[in-house]
Amino acid sequence: MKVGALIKQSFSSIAHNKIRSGLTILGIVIGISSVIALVGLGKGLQANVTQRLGNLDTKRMTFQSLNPERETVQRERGGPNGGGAQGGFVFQRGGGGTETLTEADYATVKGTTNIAAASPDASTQTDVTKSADAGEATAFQLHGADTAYASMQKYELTAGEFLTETQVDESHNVLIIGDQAAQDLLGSDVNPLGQKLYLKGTEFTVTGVLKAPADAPPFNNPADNLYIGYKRWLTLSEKSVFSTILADASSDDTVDSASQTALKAMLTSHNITDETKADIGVSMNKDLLNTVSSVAGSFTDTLAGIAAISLIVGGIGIMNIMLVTVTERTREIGLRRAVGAKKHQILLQFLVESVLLTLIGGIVGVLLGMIFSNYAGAIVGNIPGRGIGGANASSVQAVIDLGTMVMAVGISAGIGIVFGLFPAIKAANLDPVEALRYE
Amino acid sequence: MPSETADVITFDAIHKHYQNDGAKTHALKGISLTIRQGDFVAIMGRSGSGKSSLMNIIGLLDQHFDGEYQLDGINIKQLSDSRRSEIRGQKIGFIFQQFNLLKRTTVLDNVLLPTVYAGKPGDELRALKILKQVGLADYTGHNTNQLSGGQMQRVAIARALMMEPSILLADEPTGNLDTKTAHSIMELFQEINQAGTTVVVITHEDDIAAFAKRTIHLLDGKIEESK
Repeated sequence: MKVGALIKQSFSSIAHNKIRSGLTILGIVIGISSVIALVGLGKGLQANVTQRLGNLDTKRMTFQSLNPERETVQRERGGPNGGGAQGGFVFQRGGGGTETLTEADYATVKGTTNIAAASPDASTQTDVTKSADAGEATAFQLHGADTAYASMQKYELTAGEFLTETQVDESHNVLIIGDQAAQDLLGSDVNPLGQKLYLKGTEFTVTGVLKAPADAPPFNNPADNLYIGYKRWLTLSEKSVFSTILADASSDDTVDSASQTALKAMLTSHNITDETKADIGVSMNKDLLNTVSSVAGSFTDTLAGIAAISLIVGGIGIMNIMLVTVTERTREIGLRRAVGAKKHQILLQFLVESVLLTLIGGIVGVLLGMIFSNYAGAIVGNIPGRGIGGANASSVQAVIDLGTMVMAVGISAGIGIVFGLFPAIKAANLDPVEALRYE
Repeated sequence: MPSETADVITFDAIHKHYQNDGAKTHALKGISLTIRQGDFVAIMGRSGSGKSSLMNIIGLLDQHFDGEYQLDGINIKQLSDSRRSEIRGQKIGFIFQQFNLLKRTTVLDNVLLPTVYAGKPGDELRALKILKQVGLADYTGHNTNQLSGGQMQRVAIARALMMEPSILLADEPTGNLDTKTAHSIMELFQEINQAGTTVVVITHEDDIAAFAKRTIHLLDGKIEESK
């Protein structure tokens, strides 16, 4: 029996029962369109999150002070997936008495092979006034940084220049000010460059003004902060340790090795051999990126899994209607057997019919799913407060690639085979004598 | 093709038993008969005499029987289900009381149905020729549900002739037709038989059996009379 004849026959049989076929197909359409819409939306969100996190430098590593006294899981290296270098994140911020990173540690990081740039990132709330004897001071976040800090953080200087090596090393009283802080302190009419400001009563000269990058967070925005050399910051804050050291590896491939080398060297200098007692931790942006991406991927899979349940329901609908069809057409099956049809030809005929039903459902479902996912993307994007870094997330664009579409159509054909097989076998195994006698 | 005198059907001591809810029925009790090429045989008998059981075995629809059956020299008992389907398609043309046509399908497509399973391209010219022979040349494009009972049975006869069978097997072919139409159908069978095709008609009506060259009477699963 020819494939063309089979398909023609199946089409004509489907067309004979338009309403029934339509309703049966609807079950598959709903299932496939849900899968397509949710997978598309999930992938869209994944792409959106990844793109936003893409601004994070994947070569970045962050060394942080840990409190060796605090025995918490936060410090444990290796997540549930194991693997030391993929180690857990240390979100613990250096609080009171937890800062352990010294200038020597910073020198170690800076001197490690494959570290391209590094800077301490220390900050304290500091009183700032416009004159030495001003009564009322405003508290600003004062950062201690090295020369590479602005470029590492992608801060743009709108006036002057960032800290120079001499200014940092010789602890000059020079100050880089965020443009928002400058406006707050000096007013919008005044050029901040060369202005004198008093930090804890000590005079500093403004030598640079920076503005925050477009994707900067609304909280702790760099435009609201002040920056001085890290050595000067230590003396001004009367400290000897930092909470954080930032470093960039020379390439994505060297992040792991460079971070581990630097960490080990620092721990050795701290006389720590037991990793569980480490007073320094390191986290890497790329790990964060991988984790977020994998969480988004799991989210997509979960959504698709939930939607797939409706496909099973649709499949049961197919099986039900095919069983009804086989019963209705019992005499026809008997006749076909009488005129020479073999069992497998009858089986194939009913299987092709159920696959055609699900294929039509699959194709319509893919098209509807694409439309749904676009609408759903727009709705998700407009939920207030969504998005990372406070940015407007209305750009959530459903991602439906060819692979997803082919997979969806393939799955629908598979459902036709799986759920159509039992009725088809039943049809093929009908006794021709009984079938011809069926009323 | 077998010669004029070749045996088309040979039954040797055919027995058929049915088992229904523990009750055993002996439907055919050692039937032996021979039907030759060119025969026109009417198989008669009352309800329950074993006519349908005999027809199912002749038509290769039922392989659960005891005894020997040869169709065109082929021993049927040794064949697989698939091979029996093939032989059915090639050598036997079925005609049923209920016509058994495909609904909402054209007359031509109904006639071409056996070719779908024969693995040959549908020979439309032959189908049209047969439709002309059965008097339906003007109805080829009609749907079967637009036809009268007599016309439907003619379509069924055309379908049965499509594969040039060795034997036409008709089970109460006139049971659903009025007398005039029934007789015209039987005349058609006579024409077909005269052209060389073996015809076996199962009927319980004497006037229908009268169209045959030979009559076999069944009674309680045995041949009562053969003339």
